Amino acid sequence: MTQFYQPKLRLTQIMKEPGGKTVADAVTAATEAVGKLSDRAVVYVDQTLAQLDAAFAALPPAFEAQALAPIYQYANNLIGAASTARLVALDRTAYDFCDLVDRMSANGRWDRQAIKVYIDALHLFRRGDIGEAAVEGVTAGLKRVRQHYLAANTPAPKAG
Amino acid sequence: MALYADNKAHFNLKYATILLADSGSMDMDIMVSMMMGFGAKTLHKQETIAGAKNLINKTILDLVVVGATLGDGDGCDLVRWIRREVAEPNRFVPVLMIVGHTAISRISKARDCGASLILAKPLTPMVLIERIIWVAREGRSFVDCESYAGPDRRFKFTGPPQGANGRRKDDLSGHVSTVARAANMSQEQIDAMMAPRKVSL
Repeated sequence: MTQFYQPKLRLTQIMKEPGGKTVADAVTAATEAVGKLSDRAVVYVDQTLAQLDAAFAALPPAFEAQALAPIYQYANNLIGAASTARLVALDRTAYDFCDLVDRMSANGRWDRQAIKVYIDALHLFRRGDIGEAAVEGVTAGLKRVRQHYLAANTPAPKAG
Repeated sequence: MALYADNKAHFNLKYATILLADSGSMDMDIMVSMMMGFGAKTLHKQETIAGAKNLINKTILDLVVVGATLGDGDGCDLVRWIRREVAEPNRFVPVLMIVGHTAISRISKARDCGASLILAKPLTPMVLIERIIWVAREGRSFVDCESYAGPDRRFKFTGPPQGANGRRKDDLSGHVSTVARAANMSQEQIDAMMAPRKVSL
């Protein structure tokens, strides 16, 4: 049987206590605090890229979903951390890479070359000295790689 | 005092007890930095489900922020346990779940485990504080049934889930159409599924 409750949250009362901060001041303070993590985030990104390289090198010859799992996890770990390291292009590429690996896992087929292209692009964007036009060019190329994999490996929807 | 998410509005997190649960050291550091910037003082950090459970059993919490993955399992498992197994008041504690890749299957899983809101990385301070204020002021019902325990997942009055018979007196037929495989979800789409954006009390 379904039951409905109307809980009173302590958080509601606590947040209304006198004192505190304005939203603007809180956002400014939080943004500054996160900005101080930038150097640490760069180190974290480098460590994660090294883990990604190792996971790729360890891929067996034939498809194994379990072997893809760490690649997905490491790419997922880059999302957010890369933005904190001010590597926005790397962050977006990590997201797209997750998407591709997720599709490979779902399809039960991988494309090693496509994985390699993405990992190479992540290393390229790690350099941080790539011009905007070059970033756009590489990103467009990565999109074609993803579309090529999907076109070749996504089953057609059932009629009706 | 009213809670708003506009720039001049005041809020106070100084006396809130907050659990941050995430296996990633970087994500944890980002969350801690943001929370301290917001003025929070009492932060409990846990990297595993086991550690988080131990803390939840001993401490009354005001907010939980949980990552999708913890050292010994899935963040959804922790949230499901909070909603099913924990005594009040922690059972009803607002839970924000932080996710990276937002495949619709993963977002649905996070919503269905009982998370109050789902936030996509990269997280910004403005988005985080908006959502904290929103969960603090909203008056969502808590639903407890065989298949789900957690905040009411219905934000729009669009009837019961597709293919399901409604459990409420005013529910109409649930069948509308078949949904094709969908793409990943943006934060706006997640919000549309989970919550309206503007907050006021």
